[in-house]
Amino acid sequence: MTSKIYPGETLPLQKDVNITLGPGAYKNPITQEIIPVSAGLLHCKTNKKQTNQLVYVETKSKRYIPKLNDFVVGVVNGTLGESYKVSLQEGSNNVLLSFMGFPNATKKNRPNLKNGQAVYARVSQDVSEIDIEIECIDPTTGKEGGFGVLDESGFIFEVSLNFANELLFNSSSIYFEKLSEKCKFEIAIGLNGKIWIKCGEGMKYDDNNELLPSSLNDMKYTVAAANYLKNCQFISKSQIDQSLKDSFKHLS
Amino acid sequence: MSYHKEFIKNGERLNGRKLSELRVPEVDIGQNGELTISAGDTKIFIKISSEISKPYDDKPNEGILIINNDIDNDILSRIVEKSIRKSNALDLESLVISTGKICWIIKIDLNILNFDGNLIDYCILGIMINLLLYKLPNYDIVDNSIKLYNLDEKAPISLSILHIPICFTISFYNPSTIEMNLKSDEVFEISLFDADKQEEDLRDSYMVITLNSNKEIIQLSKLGGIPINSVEVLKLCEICYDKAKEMTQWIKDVVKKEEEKTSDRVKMLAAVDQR
Repeated sequence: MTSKIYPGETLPLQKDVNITLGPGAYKNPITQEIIPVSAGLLHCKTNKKQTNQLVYVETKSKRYIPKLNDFVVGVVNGTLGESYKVSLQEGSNNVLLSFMGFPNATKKNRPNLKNGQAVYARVSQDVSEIDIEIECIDPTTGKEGGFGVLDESGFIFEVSLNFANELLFNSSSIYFEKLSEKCKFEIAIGLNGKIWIKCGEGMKYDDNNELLPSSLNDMKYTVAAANYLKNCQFISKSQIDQSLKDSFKHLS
Repeated sequence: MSYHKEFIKNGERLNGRKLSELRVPEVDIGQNGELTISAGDTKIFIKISSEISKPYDDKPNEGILIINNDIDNDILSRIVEKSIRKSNALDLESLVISTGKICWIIKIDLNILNFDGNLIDYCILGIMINLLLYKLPNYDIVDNSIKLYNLDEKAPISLSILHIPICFTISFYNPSTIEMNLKSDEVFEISLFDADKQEEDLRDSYMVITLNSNKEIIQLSKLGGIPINSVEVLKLCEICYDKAKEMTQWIKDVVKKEEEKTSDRVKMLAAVDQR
């Protein structure tokens, strides 16, 4: 169910269910009242057993505020003591990725990341008064779980936050299904609006640091896929096919 | 190495444009000297306002032109200043109503709403379109005081624009290492017009040229970065001149279209009056 909502209006909350708050919903710590704090489309989803209700407001915002357990794509910016400084969004404060935030990391066996390298990580500490922390470990298993360094052969581009949300969580969205008709790809979606994508082998170099001749084609496919996804933010569902065609038309 | 550089080396760009292809700007003209110009995601709001004041003491027969911008960027404001005020694009002497006593102040306010590369070019383009469209109210001097007329009482006066400066920012990329570029005559920098945000972040150097359709170079600045062959610079000036001619024509078309629209409105008002 979706409807328009403005800050301060009352939310259609059910009684006697667990309520999960998403972006745009806020619980007043004193009165325990739940109110919307941003204007946009309201999503209220209740699970089949009627025990849990999810509430969030979909807005077209650009600024990313880290929340616990968000998946993010960050770029390493430098080191600070025992951690890497990672930028999640240009112009925002850096977040910290501890050397220990990798699976199997010990004091001696520390990861080796260079400036400019990208990582896929989870927000593990979101108290905004102190430095926000991310880590590359799946908390349930203690293993890699898909997090870690994103290699340099891929391409990073930016989309709006709500679109990244849609791509990551809406399993019925058809954007990737359509894209897979054109090429095979590997993707990491960060809720901070950064997306890392690689089609085929991406950008690959040989031992003499020369670009492999085959990789230029893969790079073109990667960029076309990125342009298609970027374009999908602004079009309706009926135009997706056309957008896909336009993005890939210069490639055989 | 990044995707951008590999693409540029192969003569292509990530945004699908050719190396020397410009974005097509969109101009949204409002009333009372308001104008929004956008190209890609770059978006600039420009407001021109005027008031009556006293000329500066050392320049009694010149009006006053003030250009403000809301971001504190020295390079931007200096190049805009050089291109528009110092090139005398706006005839300041025509702004004087009474020598040493009364003149018009023209204030240009730039509000940068969004940044996607190439602010300088689009600021200057937007300012010039806006200046060409701007109208001062008509006036009379009655008994040592000024009487201003409403738009419907007496036709307003256009500003006198002497020439239209067009600005181009060219970004340079070094296809090999810096040492090679310094030592060798065979390594040529790749030049690229109208860079977007990411291309600006990656460029090794850039050059800003302002020129007009009379083939006069108004200013040329290249602030640091990798050295560029002088023959290359001359070639680029030649390309810029061709582009400036096209751009001037485009500006004139935009202005003409807008003026037709307003004259239609005036005619309609007149028709209503007659009835």
